[in-house]
Amino acid sequence: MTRMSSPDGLWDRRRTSGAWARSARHRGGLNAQMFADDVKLMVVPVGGRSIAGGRVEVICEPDDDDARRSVVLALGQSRQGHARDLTRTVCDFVASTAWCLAAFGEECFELVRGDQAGQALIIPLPADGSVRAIGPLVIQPAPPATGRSRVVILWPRDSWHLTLPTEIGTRRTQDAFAQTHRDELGGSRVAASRRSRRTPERGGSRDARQSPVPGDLCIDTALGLASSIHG
Amino acid sequence: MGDAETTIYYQIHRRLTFQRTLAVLRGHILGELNAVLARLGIEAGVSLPNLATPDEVSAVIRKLEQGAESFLVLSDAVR
Repeated sequence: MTRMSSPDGLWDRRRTSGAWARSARHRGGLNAQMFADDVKLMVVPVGGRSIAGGRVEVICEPDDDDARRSVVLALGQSRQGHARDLTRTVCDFVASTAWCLAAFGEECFELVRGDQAGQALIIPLPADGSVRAIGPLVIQPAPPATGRSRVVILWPRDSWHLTLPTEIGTRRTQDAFAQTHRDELGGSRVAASRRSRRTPERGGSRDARQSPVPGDLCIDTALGLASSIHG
Repeated sequence: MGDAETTIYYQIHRRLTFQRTLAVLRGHILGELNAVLARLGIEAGVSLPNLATPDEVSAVIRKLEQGAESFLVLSDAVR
């Protein structure tokens, strides 16, 4: 078994085996996807860029340049581009983390204590399900091409496993939520598909041939379910 | 159940409940982030004071349930 960190202290994103990968279907289909997207958009209004009701502002304590720079560098390098603004960096981090929690119920991070420039980093690990937290360890099955080890392990000191707050739920309840809405949407899709195939030539009625196309029905169903999720 | 099939009271209550969930989630992420920053030796904490806390949203929900404010005021009370 090997440490998950690569020699330069950063996780190599190419090393994903896909053994535990979560497909879009595992996320609960369109309804759960819409729910997670709503959470991302609204947990900090439009990623902190909304000006309705006053600008969103992140306060750093202590409010000095060094502290602000440390936070921006710790969070900003995990995203694309070079972040400089504290508010945008923190808001983007909160929004993307909230999306993962809403979609999967958990997210894992690698903690790097001092990269080549001596800066601490918080690196989000792939959220596709290829990385799992088992007890205090963060584990990933390694693809065969990566060498001797069959799993890579990140020890508790170097990892951060973030889960849903207990007031909202757990990963298990989130999985049940995704399962419920996947079944509802999947059932609608199958029923609509069957109705569309039931033409008069195949024994169906003229009304059935004039029914909405499956895509329309799915969108209607999804919008209704998304509304009920918010309740 | 779409908006056309529900009362305005229910729609506002549902939206406020969702806002309260978001406030809990936001506070949880920031709390955990501050703890991790401390673990990494970064002596800094971050907060989002402009956005509502769960207690503030709960207070708005109570006002709605008691009929203490108009729907118009309450629907825009939470951010």
